[in-house]
Amino acid sequence: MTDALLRDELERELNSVAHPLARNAWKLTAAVGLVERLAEQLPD
Amino acid sequence: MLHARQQFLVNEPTAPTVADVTLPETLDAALPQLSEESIPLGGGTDIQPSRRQGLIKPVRLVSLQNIEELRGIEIADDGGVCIGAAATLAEIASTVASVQSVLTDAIATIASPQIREMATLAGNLLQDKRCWFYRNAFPCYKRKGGLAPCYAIEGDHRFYHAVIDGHRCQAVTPSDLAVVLNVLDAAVTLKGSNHARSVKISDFYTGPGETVCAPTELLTEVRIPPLRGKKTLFKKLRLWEGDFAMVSAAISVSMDTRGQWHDLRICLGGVAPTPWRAHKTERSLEGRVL
Repeated sequence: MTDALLRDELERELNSVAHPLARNAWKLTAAVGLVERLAEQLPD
Repeated sequence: MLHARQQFLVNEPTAPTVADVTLPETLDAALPQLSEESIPLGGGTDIQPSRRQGLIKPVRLVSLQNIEELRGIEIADDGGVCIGAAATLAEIASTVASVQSVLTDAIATIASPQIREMATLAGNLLQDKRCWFYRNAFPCYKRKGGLAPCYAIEGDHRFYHAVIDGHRCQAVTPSDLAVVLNVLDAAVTLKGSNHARSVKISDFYTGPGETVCAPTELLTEVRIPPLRGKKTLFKKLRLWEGDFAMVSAAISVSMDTRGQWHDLRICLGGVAPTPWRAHKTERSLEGRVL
């Protein structure tokens, strides 16, 4: 598995359930980014 | 938006006069005092502003500061942790650092050192939503009910409102510890005069800053099972140091010797009315190798 797979899976799940307001859709990208960063730190 | 609705700001709420403050010395003495007309008071870092904002109706305060049994932090030999509800965030951060460093990391992002010396675990978990319309006396759905609107839909919702599951109210649960405790599979103990129950943190929240804890119940402790080799991490995106989360994320996972991921848990804060678990992603990555 790669970080990209985690990102894709999470993005897919979020996109299937999210209904952001007009100006806060960026939070979905931010959430995926945070999880991706955490996954990168896990092996340390 | 504020300009268009400024007429509402004229009606600034006032805190109801406190009828009395009791200081029970034991849990048994405190529990019978809890009712619809009273509210338990820990560090007061959320309750006092909420009172001034007209969000708390009870006029009787039951201070928990003298109840030693609510302040303990126990670390079992296997690494399990039991934290008393009235333990301060600073006490927790310094005590559990060796066994639950993710809690220490998360606490370091909450508010300021001064507030962390006062704020309690239960206060953090039970704090009310931070929506600025709700907090600033806009007659929104959560304040007025019925057909009242959610002002965040038209107003500034860029940072602190939901992107998932927000319907009549777009606010989110502000507690960072709720996000961390979700991936740690923690449970809270709720006690009333004649009963006690344990509730998984994943079942604790019913809405933004709203929980299953009844007015006659007291959150007495949080139990965190041992990590057993799991890795856990927390990250938070905020506008400034000490701010509430715009988005936060916690992750926990067991990795075997081949690098396969097991029992993955991902919890997001600041995106939904309650801490949000990515169950599909968790299932789909079971057994995969990073």
